[in-house]
Amino acid sequence: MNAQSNPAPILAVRDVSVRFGGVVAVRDVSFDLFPGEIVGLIGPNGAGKTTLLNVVSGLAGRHDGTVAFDGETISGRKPHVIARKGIARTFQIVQPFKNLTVLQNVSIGAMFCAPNRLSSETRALAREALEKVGLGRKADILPTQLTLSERKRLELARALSTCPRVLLLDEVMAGLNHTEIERIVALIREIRADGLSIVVVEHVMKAIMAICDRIVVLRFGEKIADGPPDAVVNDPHVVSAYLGERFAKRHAAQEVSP
Amino acid sequence: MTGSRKSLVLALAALAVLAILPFVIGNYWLRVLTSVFMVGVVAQGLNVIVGFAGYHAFGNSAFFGVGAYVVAVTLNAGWPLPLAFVAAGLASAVVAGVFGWPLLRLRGHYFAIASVALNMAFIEVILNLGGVTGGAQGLPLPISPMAPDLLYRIIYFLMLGALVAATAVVWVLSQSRLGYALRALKDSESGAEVMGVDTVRAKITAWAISAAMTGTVGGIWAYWITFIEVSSAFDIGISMRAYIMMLLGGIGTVFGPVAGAFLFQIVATMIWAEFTHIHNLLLGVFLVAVVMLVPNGVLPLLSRAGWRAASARLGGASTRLSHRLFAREER
Ligand SMILES: Nc1ncnc2c1ncn2[C@@H]1O[C@H](COP(=O)(O)OP(=O)(O)O)[C@@H](O)[C@H]1O
Ligand SMILES: [Mg+2]
Repeated sequence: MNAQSNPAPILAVRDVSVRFGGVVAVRDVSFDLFPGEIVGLIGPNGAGKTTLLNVVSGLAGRHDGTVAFDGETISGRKPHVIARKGIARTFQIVQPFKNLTVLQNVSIGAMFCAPNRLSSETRALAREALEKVGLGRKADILPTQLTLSERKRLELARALSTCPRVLLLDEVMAGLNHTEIERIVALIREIRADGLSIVVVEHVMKAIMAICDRIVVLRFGEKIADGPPDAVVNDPHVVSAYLGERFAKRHAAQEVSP
Repeated sequence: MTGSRKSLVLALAALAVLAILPFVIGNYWLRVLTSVFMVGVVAQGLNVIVGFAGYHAFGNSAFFGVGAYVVAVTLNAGWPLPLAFVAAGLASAVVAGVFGWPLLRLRGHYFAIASVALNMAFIEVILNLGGVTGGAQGLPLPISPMAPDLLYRIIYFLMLGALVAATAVVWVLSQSRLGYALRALKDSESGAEVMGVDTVRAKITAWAISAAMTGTVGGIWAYWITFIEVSSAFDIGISMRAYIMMLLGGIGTVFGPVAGAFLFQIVATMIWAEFTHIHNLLLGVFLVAVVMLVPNGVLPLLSRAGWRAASARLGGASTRLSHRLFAREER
């Protein structure tokens, strides 16, 4: 599951830059996602992680550079077109459809990403996605009645209902406790085992270290590191820019005495 | 399931009564009911774009006017009546499509203002157009050879039919993919888009449906009153009344706007009759009370949970009020 065994990336981001007025949110960022891979995208707040995901999913508006999905250029296409091609995402700030039930929320993806699907198939697909994230018993309530952890998982189920090949996760673990984080980590592993390729934006380093094959680090919109987890967290640039000395010492100590 | 079957039975019973009524009641009540149906359709039209999609089309009266003028002009040109009504609905839908294409790309409140501007623009265009539209002089329609008593009953049934048709369309919409797309984008357009929904197309389609409903009854209205001018055809007050009806009955529901239309008319008739000098004030107070106490409309009150929520809100409001009064006394 690395660059050597699968040379063609499923997602190729090339020289992407995004400007908001005078602010350069993303500057000349390139990275690859290979089939079956989980790539962690980390960096301080405001580093441009969400903006980069917006570029991939078509929500960012004008930008420079290109994004290719499975060899086909998708930059400049509408978000719904990109979604139907097979790129799904979650939002850092969860965006449930408040006047639809949990099951109906999930049905939207199943309904619109395969327009000719029968409604019975749509329902089965949505059910399946709900069961997967452990919300099967909450199908008929409104999302406003869910806890934060459940809302994060609803966000995941909604993304899965589009039958994606690439999944972009924007801080699905933020605000969750240990047990809930472990649950999501297990879930992400399961989703990868189903054959998806995943980009994980996250601040929870323990989770990142546990699931990622590779880590890309952003700072002030620029990519400052890209490599295997251990190499990246020991990179002095990354330590000074984001992780801090304390993390580096703790990580080194863990490696010495596992 | 049982809830929707119950409301279907209720609706059919009400329909049977409404079908017999014109042969029993006098022309005053006939006129009142005909206009309830008419504004009820405008309310259903608003329901499609406001209730489902969450786009506040304050200026939907523009389509009422377009429909009215299309019927007036085509009837004057000798078109058969049914064709004139169809033309009114179609022309309104086309106008919504053409203007929706740029306007509905804008998210949020720009649209509300732009729709009002559209209404004003039509007034200006027709005033300056003259010719077949009559310009500032207004436009008379061909007088029907039918006896008035018969004609008014036919118009009653036309408006009732339009209301039934509009409600059926909303019911179909509530079950359809488009309906789901609209309810999804109402809460989060980005969320809907990344799940595969073409939001711009869904919004334009919704507004076109909304416009077709509004334009058709605008056309029937023109045939009814036989003389139209811009101030009455493009009267934004029609949108406003329809808005109150929709809020009163229950926004985004199938039967809400219909229930709201009747309820509003009952209240308005009472207020009009008893307090002619302050009716706008009372109507305003009424509207504020509706929005505060039954923000989801009266229809959900028919279910026990809806009733409990509303009484809780009422209880909360009265507790807050008494606290406030009490605090003032202490000071
Ligand atoms: N819509 C926007 N308009 C203006 N500036 C924005 C917008 N979105 C993001 N930014 C800016 O771009 C930078 C990157 O933001 P973001 O991608 O949200 O960072 P991250 O997700 O890494 O915390 C920040 O400086 C942020 O203020
Ligand atoms: Mg972010």
